[in-house]
Amino acid sequence: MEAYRNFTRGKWSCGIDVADFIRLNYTPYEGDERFLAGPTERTKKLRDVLGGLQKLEKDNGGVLGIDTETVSSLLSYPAAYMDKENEVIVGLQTGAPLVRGVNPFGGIRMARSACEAYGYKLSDKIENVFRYRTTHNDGVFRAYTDEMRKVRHVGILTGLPDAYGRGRIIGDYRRVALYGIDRLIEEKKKDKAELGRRTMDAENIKLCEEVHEQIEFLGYLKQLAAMYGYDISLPATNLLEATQWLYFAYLAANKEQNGAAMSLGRTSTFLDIYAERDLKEGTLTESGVQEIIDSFVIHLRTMRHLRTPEYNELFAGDPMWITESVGGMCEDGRPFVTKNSFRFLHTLYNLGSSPEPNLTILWSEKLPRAFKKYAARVSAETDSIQYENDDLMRKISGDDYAIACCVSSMKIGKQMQFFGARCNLPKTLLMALNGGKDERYFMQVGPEMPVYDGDVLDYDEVVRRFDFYLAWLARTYVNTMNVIHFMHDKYAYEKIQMALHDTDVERLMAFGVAGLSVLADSLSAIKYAKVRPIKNAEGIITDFDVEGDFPKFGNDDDRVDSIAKETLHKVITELKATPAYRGAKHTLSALTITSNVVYGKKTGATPDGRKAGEPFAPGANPMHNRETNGALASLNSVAKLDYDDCRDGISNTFSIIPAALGKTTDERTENLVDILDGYFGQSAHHLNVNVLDRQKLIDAMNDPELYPNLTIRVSGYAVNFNKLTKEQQREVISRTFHSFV
Amino acid sequence: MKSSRELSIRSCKGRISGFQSLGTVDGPGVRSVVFGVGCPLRCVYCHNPETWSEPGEETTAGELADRILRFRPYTVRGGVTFGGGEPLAQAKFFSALARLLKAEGMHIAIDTSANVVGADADELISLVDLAIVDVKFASEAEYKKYTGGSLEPVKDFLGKLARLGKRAWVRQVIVPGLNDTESDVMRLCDVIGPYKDIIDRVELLPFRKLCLEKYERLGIPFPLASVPEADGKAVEKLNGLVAFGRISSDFAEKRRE
Repeated sequence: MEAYRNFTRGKWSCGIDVADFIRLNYTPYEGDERFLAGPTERTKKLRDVLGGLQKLEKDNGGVLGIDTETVSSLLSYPAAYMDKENEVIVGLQTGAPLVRGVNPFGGIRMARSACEAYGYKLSDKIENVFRYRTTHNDGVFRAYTDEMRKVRHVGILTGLPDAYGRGRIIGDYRRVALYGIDRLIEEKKKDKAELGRRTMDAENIKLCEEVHEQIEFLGYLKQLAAMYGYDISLPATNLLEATQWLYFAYLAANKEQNGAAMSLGRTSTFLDIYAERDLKEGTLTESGVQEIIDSFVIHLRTMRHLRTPEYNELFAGDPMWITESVGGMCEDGRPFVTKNSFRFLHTLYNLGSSPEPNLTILWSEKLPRAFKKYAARVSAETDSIQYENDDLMRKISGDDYAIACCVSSMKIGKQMQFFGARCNLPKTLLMALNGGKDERYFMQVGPEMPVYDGDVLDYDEVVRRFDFYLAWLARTYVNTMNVIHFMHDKYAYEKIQMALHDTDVERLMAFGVAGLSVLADSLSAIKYAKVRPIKNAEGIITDFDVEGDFPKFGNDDDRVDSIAKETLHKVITELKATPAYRGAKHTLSALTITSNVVYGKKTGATPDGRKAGEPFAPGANPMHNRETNGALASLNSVAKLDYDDCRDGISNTFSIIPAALGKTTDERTENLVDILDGYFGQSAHHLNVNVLDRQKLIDAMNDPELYPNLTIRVSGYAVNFNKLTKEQQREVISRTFHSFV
Repeated sequence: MKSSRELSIRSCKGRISGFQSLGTVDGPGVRSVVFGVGCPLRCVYCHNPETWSEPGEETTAGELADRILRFRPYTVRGGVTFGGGEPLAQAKFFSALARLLKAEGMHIAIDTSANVVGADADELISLVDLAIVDVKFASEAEYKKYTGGSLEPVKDFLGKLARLGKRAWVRQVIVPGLNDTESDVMRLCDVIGPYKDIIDRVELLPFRKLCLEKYERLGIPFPLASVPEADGKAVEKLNGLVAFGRISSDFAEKRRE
């Protein structure tokens, strides 16, 4: 076949196996960044068109427009362009760039209130249609128990995907480029026939229906491409087509779903195979290759979903989590770094710094030093990339996994995830002390027990109570998630994304914790200092008096670090005690996005001295400014948390002032590489890196015009600093900036 | 099993005023930095006056070595730096620490003003890989006036380093009105010129007043309270005279002309 000329054949030629295709055909690149090309004239023009639109969007209060007449789907909008002449890659989500579509399948209420928040009204037409259609949100609330409503209300579980698309599912968008739609449909039809030979129990019937829908939507994807003048029935024959085919698939996913995280996968090395062939055949120059990648990335940067202000509080800055995983190692020992790995990072220079796509380096000790240095330089100059430990994840997920959202790894096309937000650990501790009553609402939420009675908190007694309430919460949490995902599958199934997965997919159910360092420090205070509970008039413990010092997480002190580590082990063990929907495997993350602010707001004073309502530290971070032994001690503490207990990721956000990294650019780059090697060499999982001065953020907060494109890493993703609320900006500024010079 | 000799080294006691797990300017690469207490000098611009009299935290060489070794994963191109205060003021303790760390293959630097002499100091010198030598003033009279010490032991120290085949960085704080002219810098180069083969870097650092709060807290008057901070650009220019951080033979030649 013409499309496969000069490709090495293998298993991928017989069945669907993109990973095999990559291993057999990619060209590792060990050199440095000097080959890279700057933006072409077309790229510059297109970049400026998008820049202008983004400015209009900002001036318009954050939303440029909403199409309130159309229900978003693959074929509901005509072909649309930003600047047709200069678009090498084409395709927009709705009828006009940055105009947001309405997707009520997750919940009509959320769609309605999001329109209203920006001064629009959802059309009667859509309201009428959804009067007769059950949404995911309707389904969930039909099945929720009183207890589930209560834990949600008081905020011991928060951010549950029960009113919008759950997201965190990565379609293997590469399949469309490598195989073309016809072949994918053919394979799915074979799968469906195979399912027909199985016993028709509830699970099998459900899957039969899903595969039917997948096939239907693959057909729509083909029609979507045809609207833009492309026939994607057959495999792509060059880089331009491969990128375009892949982008159509990703675009289709975003037309169908408004999931919280719509991650891209691991596309750069796959596409590099096409780039190398075109370069060899002389049909493209380096500048031409970069132009295609730049145009692709500009289109990724146009992606938008319609959100409510409450949603923005949890996940600030309009994130899409178009996470692209770059680098990592091949199982045969060669690095997966190609020239395209560099080109993707280089878009941050050609197009300017930006939070999206969420560029994620899969770090291995064995990555070529030149690539490590380039990544570190890009980090220091743009604060736009994050790092995750490939040596750790590859052992579990093989070498063709990608990151969804911030830190969730999954095998591409073979695993999907049921996203589960997070539970509030410090609040669980307070509930344990208060015998199941909430410390803010004074309402009985958990099983009833007398409020802790005693002048000073006794560590063993507190731990006994905590373990009891944790077990209760874990069971409630799993059950709540089961309801949510049953209903999501039923009413808002991801047809195109799941069409780009194997039919017999492995499922993960991803739970999370918030406030890990607050809990660890609180238990440490109880153990090593003297903590006296203070009760209010109703006899509820609402404050604490702490006498004496105690070890704090973030100082490489085993006395408290071990508490954090053991807590994660307890949580995942308790979660596993309740079976998850559809046989999913339980996983856990320590990741908060920006919800650490909201979680803190919903939590009373804690025994570590944190006042009521104060933010938690994000993810697995030590609490702000409690690290007194410097940056590496802080990293060492987080590195002790065991990834085996926390397979959905351990997020750590690290801010350091440039001067503390070294005197010259070259020293700073080399030192950052050593820090990353040292951290990941201890089996740590994730690191967001910001290299900046606190003063710059203070200036940007006071005068946003000074830094219109200031991008910073917050917790698993990057954000335009100006898009955060003042409250979130203050929280980011109050974080530890390692600054020893 | 640890030998009795190693146990006695491990139990050697010292006092430190602080510990930083990440330092990147006091020696090559990523390094931990230990601050010892005590210093024989009383420099007019001292940044760490708390190390003069505050007792610090008592620790043993063994404990501290274990703590430093926790950062081995990061220090492949770096190591550890003993600063202070004056590390030579606790030479026995830092020698014990250096022995324990050398046994683990760590690169060791000391940040010193080289005004302590004697057998203990010599032992510590023999154990380090790099000495960052603060040559505070380039004439005996100024040295005495502004630090209370002497320039002679500093020259001897550089000579010892050269004989032992150790590497050195040279530093000097540039204070407006005290040592901020080109001819001041040339006099510094005359002092260190004879040792240029072992000197990898010369850093002139601008005088800053970030330490004012410390003086207030300690109730000690800051002698340079009325002196302005050094201008960063002017100091950069002076740094240019010593040619990109490495003593340049060109510079020595220019001096002869």
